Amino acid sequence: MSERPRPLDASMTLLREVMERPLDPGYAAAAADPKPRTPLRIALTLVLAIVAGAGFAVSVVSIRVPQRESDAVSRELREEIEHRSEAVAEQKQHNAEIAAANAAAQQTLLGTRGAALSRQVQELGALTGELAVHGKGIQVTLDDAPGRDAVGSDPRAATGYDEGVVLDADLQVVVNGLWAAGAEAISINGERLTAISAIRSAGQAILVDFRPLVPPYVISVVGEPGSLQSEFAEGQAGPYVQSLRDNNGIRVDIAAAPELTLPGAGQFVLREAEPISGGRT
Amino acid sequence: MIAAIGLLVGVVAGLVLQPTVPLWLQPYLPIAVVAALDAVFGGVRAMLDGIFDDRVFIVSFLSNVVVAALIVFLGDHLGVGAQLSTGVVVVLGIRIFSNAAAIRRHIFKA
Repeated sequence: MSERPRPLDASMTLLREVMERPLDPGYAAAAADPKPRTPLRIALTLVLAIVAGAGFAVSVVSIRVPQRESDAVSRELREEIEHRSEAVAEQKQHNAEIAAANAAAQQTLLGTRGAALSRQVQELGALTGELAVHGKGIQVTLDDAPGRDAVGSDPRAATGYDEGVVLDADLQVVVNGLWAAGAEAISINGERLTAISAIRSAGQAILVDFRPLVPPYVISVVGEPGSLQSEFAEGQAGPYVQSLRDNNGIRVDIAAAPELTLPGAGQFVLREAEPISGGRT
Repeated sequence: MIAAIGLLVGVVAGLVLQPTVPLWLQPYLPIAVVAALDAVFGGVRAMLDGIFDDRVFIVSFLSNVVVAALIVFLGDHLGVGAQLSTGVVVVLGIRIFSNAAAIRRHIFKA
């Protein structure tokens, strides 16, 4: 490296003279050949220094910002979720109250026209799944194979088909088997099955009537416990469940329950289907 | 001295005002800060060597920042942004280290 004074192309020194001379040669050059200090030069230096300092400070501050911003956003989202969940719970409560009031109003309305009609409404409501029912029955519990994370915790964590996971098809087979075995009312994790219910999957979650369920899946069935259990075991679902248990490690537990209370699905409206007048066909 | 005072004033102003940096500038900020640090260490060393010059300091400061950002910008557009950033950080890091060592020798005579 030559020691002759060189133009102030500080940018070129950045990479070239890293190893040999970390100090900017401009300093030596300026010391060797001092420039007169004019007011303009001093002012310019001051302004540029302020600009540089401000830029430096702002850069440092803004580098630290994004993390805090994402924290704030995620906290906001979490609060939003909690807030919405509360609203949903409130609405559900409200719904239940309205349903109860409806039932009571129906009762008083029909009470004047005859107890028989009222009883029919109750029975039909229980049959369709609109009204809550209670009675003895059995509880079938299906759970994913042990030793794996709960699917509900993070649906995106587990991708693809996993052997030890309860699928919507499994629930469908079990529920069908239970209906065939003489079930009178069925609910899965508190979601009552009606004549228009669907069990399907969305990603890794199983939906019953569009409500996502989290394992373990507890299927509550009202019916005669003895015959339910024996007929379920003898029907198509019995061997299917057995193979789930043996081959896939899915935990299946069937237990009789002396008293079960199944929630009502709430009033549902048929928009297109109309009963054929003139009685049964 | 003027440069140092101006720099301090600027830092305080930046901290107080805290303007938002446009998003497209964000990727270049870390490298720019490292380059600025290099210029600051160089300035301190020059002061201890007795050859400090306001003009040189400011020019080296600004050009360091601009060139570092430019290299990253170029790298981003060539698809080697990460590698070039690493290169710049290594170079500036070496300079900062040796300048810091020189400052240490000046102060502690060791």
